[in-house]
Amino acid sequence: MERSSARGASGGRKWAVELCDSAPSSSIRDVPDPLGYSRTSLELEESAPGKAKKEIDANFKQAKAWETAQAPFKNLFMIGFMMWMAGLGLGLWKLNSLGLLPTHASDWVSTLAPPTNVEFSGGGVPLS
Amino acid sequence: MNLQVLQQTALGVLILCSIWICCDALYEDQVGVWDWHQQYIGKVKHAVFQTQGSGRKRVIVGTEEDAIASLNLRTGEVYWRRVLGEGDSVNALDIINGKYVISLSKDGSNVRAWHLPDGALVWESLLLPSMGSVASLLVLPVDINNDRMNDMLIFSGSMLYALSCHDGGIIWKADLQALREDLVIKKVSLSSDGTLFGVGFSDVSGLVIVEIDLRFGHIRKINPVGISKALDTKELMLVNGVAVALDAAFTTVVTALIKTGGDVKIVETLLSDLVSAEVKSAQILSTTLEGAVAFQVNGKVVVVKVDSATGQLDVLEVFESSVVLSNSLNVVESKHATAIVEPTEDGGSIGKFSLRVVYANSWSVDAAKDSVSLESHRGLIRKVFLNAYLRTDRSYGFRALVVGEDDSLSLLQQGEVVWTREDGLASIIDTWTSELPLERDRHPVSEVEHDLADWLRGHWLKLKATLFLASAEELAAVQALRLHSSDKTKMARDHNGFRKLLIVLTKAGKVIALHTGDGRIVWSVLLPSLRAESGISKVPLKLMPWQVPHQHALDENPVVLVVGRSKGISDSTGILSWVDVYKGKELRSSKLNFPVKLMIPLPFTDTSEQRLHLFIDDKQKAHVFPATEESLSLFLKHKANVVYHIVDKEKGTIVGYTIKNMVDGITEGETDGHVFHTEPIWSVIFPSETEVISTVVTRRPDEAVHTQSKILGSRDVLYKYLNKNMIFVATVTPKAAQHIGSATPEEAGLVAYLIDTVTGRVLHRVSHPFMQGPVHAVFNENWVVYHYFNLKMYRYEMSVIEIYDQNRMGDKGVLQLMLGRHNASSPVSSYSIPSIEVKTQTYFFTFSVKAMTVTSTARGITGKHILVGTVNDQVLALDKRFFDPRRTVSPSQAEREEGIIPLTDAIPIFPQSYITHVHQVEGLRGILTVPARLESTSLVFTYGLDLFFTRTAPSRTYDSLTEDFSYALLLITIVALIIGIVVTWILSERKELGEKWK
Repeated sequence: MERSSARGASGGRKWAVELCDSAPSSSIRDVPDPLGYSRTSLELEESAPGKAKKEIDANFKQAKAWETAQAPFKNLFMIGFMMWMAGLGLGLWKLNSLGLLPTHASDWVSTLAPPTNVEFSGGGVPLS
Repeated sequence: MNLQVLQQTALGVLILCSIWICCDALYEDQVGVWDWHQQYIGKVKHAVFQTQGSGRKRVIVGTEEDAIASLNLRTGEVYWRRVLGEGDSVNALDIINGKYVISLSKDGSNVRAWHLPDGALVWESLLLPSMGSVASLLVLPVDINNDRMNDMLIFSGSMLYALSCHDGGIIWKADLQALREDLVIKKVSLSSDGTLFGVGFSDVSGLVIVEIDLRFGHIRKINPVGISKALDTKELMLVNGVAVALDAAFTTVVTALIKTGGDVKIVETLLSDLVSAEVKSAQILSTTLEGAVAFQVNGKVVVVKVDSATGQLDVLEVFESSVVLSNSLNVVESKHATAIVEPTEDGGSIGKFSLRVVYANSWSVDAAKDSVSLESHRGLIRKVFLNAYLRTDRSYGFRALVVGEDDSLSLLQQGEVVWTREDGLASIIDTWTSELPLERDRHPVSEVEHDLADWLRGHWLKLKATLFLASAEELAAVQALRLHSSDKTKMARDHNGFRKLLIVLTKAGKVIALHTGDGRIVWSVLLPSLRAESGISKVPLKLMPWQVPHQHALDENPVVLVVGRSKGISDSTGILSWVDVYKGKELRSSKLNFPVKLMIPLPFTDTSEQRLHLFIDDKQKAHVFPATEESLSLFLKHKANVVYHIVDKEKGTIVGYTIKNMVDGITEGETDGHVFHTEPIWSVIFPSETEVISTVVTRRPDEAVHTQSKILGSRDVLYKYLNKNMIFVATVTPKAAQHIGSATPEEAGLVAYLIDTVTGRVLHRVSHPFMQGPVHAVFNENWVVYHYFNLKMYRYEMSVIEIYDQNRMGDKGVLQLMLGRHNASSPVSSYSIPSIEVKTQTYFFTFSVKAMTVTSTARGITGKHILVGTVNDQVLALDKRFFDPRRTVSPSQAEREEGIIPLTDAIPIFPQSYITHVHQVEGLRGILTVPARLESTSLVFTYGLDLFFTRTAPSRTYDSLTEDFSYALLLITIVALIIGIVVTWILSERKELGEKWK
């Protein structure tokens, strides 16, 4: 499952057959290594020893460290996105429970002007 | 147990919290910033000077408003003032030994001594009241009871008392009525040989002379003197042992020479011989002159000399009726001076008078003569009191205290007005407020610059004060700036609507405009049409807005209408007078052909914004004013819907009338208006044996209502029943209509009614047994709060009635409301059957009440305070939330959120809620509330003997910054912040650049 999605992502295709076998590195990662074959050891052996090897090591470590450092943020971003998606409904529910949505008659009548009287009446106690 | 305590504490805290919000007390330095208080004393009727000795010179006055006051003779300021209770009117005043002021009041039944310097009550003596006669006070030159203080004599009618001036104790009393039932003593005099004479009338048959022993009060002798003619018993003068009276037919002057021993010689002189003319009317004036008597004959004042040896009469001088004479003043041993004030040739209309002082023994020679000019709005001079002082050259100078036609008091000396007090303001009849003119012309640059500099300086000082950097002088300057800011006294409309003109109508028929900023008099006019004319006096009745220009506010002035009435014997027709509010001039006046019984401002105005008025006469005809064609067609359009009612307190009825057709055959015009027939359509008759109308109140016609609904904590809606044509009537049992104590609880009862005045339908009736009046009530929006006395609990109570409409939009859902499918704001007719729900509640209240009203704001959004004029002459603001019939002992959560205060048995009174703070409005009679343009604020004008103006914000000033908000501080903060931002930005830019170069 994971693999197919990775593959899809890399090529945008469902399946592919590579007929020419010239460049080993391109397709190698997609298929599992044959039994007893260790690519890393081969690569390590192939690359120059000493200084270069150390550099690669440091790079790898840094990348890993970055990954670890960024992980919570990535997570947070994900959560944020999720919440944004869910937020609308949640917010509405929350607003409603707080009574901020105009769903009652009382929310609509408070601005209505008071009715006027058709008749006019005056008077009172006569002046002495 | 513990839980209960906890609950109680919680309740207490809750009450405190809720109360906290509604108390808006004043800080000490806010006193006088927007309120003002003025003291008046009323129209002066008695005055005694105290100018001898080393103390401060003063004059003690007694007034028609039942006040006794000591005034500074140099400035007219009040040193002290004491207001006697209602009905305790002053009869006489005198000063004894330069130490006590003696006042006689309430028809001679109350005698009090006041300490002259500070007005403290020294003693009080209550005598038996003697019915219906003028009481007098005579300070004797002798000491009867040997307490080293001269004593005095009080007499009223048939009772004669000798009182000790030392402590007010009665030395002796003589009841002359016990000797002769019909005896009325008018004057008492002490003859040179120490015998006391009382002279009076016995019925109409003749004079009676009573000889009394001064030391013990024994009546030595009663000497009835038979006179051939019946006498006029209104007045009798005693001049140097000669009694002077008029006969009942006003033809003869009867003089009686009294001598010790008993023989009385009667001399009769024909009045027509004296004045050498036919006599139509005559009376003796009460002015006491030395050796002379003043008569009013045929409208002229005749001063007649009385020869004490022969009783012969001799005319000294004849004056026009506008003359005023002072009582004779003993200057030195044998010299008695009298002041004569007359308007000069061109009449009193321009306020020019001549003031002459003559000595009794040389009447034709003027001892002093000055011509004085008073302001024209003072009218004629009504009374004069004379005082003499010794000049440096040992001759005598005179000063005169004069009371104007407008009830003002002025001191005249050497032809100049030294000071004037506008004491007519103590008797305000009616008030109205007007907007000031719009600010038309821009100010010149220099003025603006000056203003700006002042403004900056003021704010700089304020800022220093805020930051506690100001010195004491600067703090004083800040306070002075606040008290006398030019902004508050400007003669133009302000944005917040705090500056207005208070137009007041006084009892003397004077209209005065006061500025609300500082209470100064902007203009005053004594209405010419309300001045007495050929002996017929006129009374002002009411002041109402006639024209309030809105569209033409720039080029038209508001006009007020003053309604008055003639006070003739047969003539009581109405008088209308129109006054320009900005110019203070009477524009025109009209003498109506009918007496005005009722005047009703109609809710329509014509194209020139003149309000239509309906005047009802004594024959139930309705007169429409202004008498123009336009107003007639406007009125005819609305005629069918106009109804009026008349409350007859004597008969106990309220009758509603409708307007019918026009009356034929009356020429319409300024004196009649358009005349219509009317017809009674309904009546409410209260059973006279059980109910007497006590109070009728209506809603204010100009009341602003913001909303028709009341939303509860549970989001339910109550609809207010906002019928404008509704009155509240309170009736009491006839016995309970009198003062408290006149009825037992079982005999007393109060019934409150709500009546629709279009149909006469009684909407609600509630009966309170054991209660009694007086009832004070205030009716606002859909509620009534009323105040009365509970005879059973012996406490005052206040009740509230709230009226809600039950069948209004009962089944309307949210959707229909959202879509506007409702008729909530469509006009309502009183003829449709109402279905109302009434909620009531009652609370105890501490005070008795003199006046009650409610705050009013521009749009009616702000909460309401009920303003109560207390018995202490202060104004107490009570939050309407305390008068909420939905209060319960323990409100639910929702109700608490709504702001409902837990129910208590009494309305709490907090010292902070007195809006008059340190002042008292003596003799408080009325409270007027006017909305400012700022919604949160209501202006309050309280009047009585004193005037007090302030503004109040029932829900605090939520819509404006406080007066002492420091704009300078705000500006400086903003500038500092901007500078800070710029500086940091530059710094960061530099740093970034430096980083990049690294």
